[in-house]
Amino acid sequence: MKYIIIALTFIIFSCDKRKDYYSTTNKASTVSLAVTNPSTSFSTTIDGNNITDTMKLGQKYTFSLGVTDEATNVDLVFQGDGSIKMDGTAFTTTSVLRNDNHLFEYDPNSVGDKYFTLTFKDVFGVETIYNFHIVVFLNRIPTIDWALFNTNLLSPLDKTIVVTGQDGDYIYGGNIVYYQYVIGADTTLTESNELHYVFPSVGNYLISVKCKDSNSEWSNEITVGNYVIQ
Amino acid sequence: MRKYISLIICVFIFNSLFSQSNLVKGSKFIGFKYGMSKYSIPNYYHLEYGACVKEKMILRIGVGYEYGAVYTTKFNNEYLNLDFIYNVYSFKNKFSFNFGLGAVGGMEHTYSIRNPFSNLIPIYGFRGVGEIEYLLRDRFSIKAEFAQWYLPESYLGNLFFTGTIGLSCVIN
Repeated sequence: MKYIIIALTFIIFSCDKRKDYYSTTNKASTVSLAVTNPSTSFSTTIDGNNITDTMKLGQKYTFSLGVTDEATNVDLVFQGDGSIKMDGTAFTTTSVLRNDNHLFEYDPNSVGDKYFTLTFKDVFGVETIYNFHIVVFLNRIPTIDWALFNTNLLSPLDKTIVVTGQDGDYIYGGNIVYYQYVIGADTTLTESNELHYVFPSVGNYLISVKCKDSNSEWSNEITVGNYVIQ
Repeated sequence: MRKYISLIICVFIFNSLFSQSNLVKGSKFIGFKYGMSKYSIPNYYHLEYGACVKEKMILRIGVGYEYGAVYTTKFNNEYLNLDFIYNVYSFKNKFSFNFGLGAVGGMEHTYSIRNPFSNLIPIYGFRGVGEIEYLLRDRFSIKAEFAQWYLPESYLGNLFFTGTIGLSCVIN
């Protein structure tokens, strides 16, 4: 009887702790992100795998992702707004990604808050997810100021108007296309932010300056109705 | 199931030919066992050669082969066993109840079904054995064995058990 008890004890306390070695030692893919937009240093916020950024419609949001996994490939799943290209080739939802650096180009297609995720899934289904929140705007108008300086090359009435300021979205690729100077009854359009002007005589002049950006929108207009020229 | 039935029939056929107990000092025997572990159903094979070195005490050497899969990890293992078996209970020299302890060495080959990884490593350890033996006309016996294995270096985990049934034949 005692041997039966010993045998039963032996069986009851036996155990099997074999494990799925390659699954348990598997690690999630390592993905390193580098945003490559010109505006990156101004607008990008990276919190772990969550990226918040701003971009201008018409531009492409570009970034590179370096993928490293134990296996040679991982699956990449794109979900969300807009469309994306990887290494110059468009894909809709899933693509096989080899271990390497890959260049991505995101096109939001419209303005607003855009959300998309990139999910890197290894052969064991372990996921590394990057979440993007991109605020897409249509345009930010230029904001300018101007000042009048004495040039005195031809006469005391030789002046220069110097405009300062930039396009509101210059860090996103926007720029000022031309400036409009109104002095009295004269209107001058030029690409330069400086205008040499010889006033015909001493007196009070209306001076007004504004500019137009690459989205064909006017900036603020600064007008002085009675600028004294002497 | 068909394999087990065939095995039992073979035992009874050979049983009629020989007659000697393997628990008698000086007797030697060979045996074959077939069975399973939790993750190799039923793919564990074991060949053994034993000698009764002392009354009720058997020294047994064996080679085993096991293959199977733990989810995504496939494996095939080769074992070399050296067991000391002690007969703790015997009923009319017909039915025996044995316990034993043995050393284990071998090779473990694991490979992933999801990616091209594989490993071939040496393994070692020990195992405890509980065995029920039924002597069929003395020379042949059928055995049912339960063994708890401990292989500390195994990638698959260090503890597992096997259950086997088999046939043993005294050869001298």
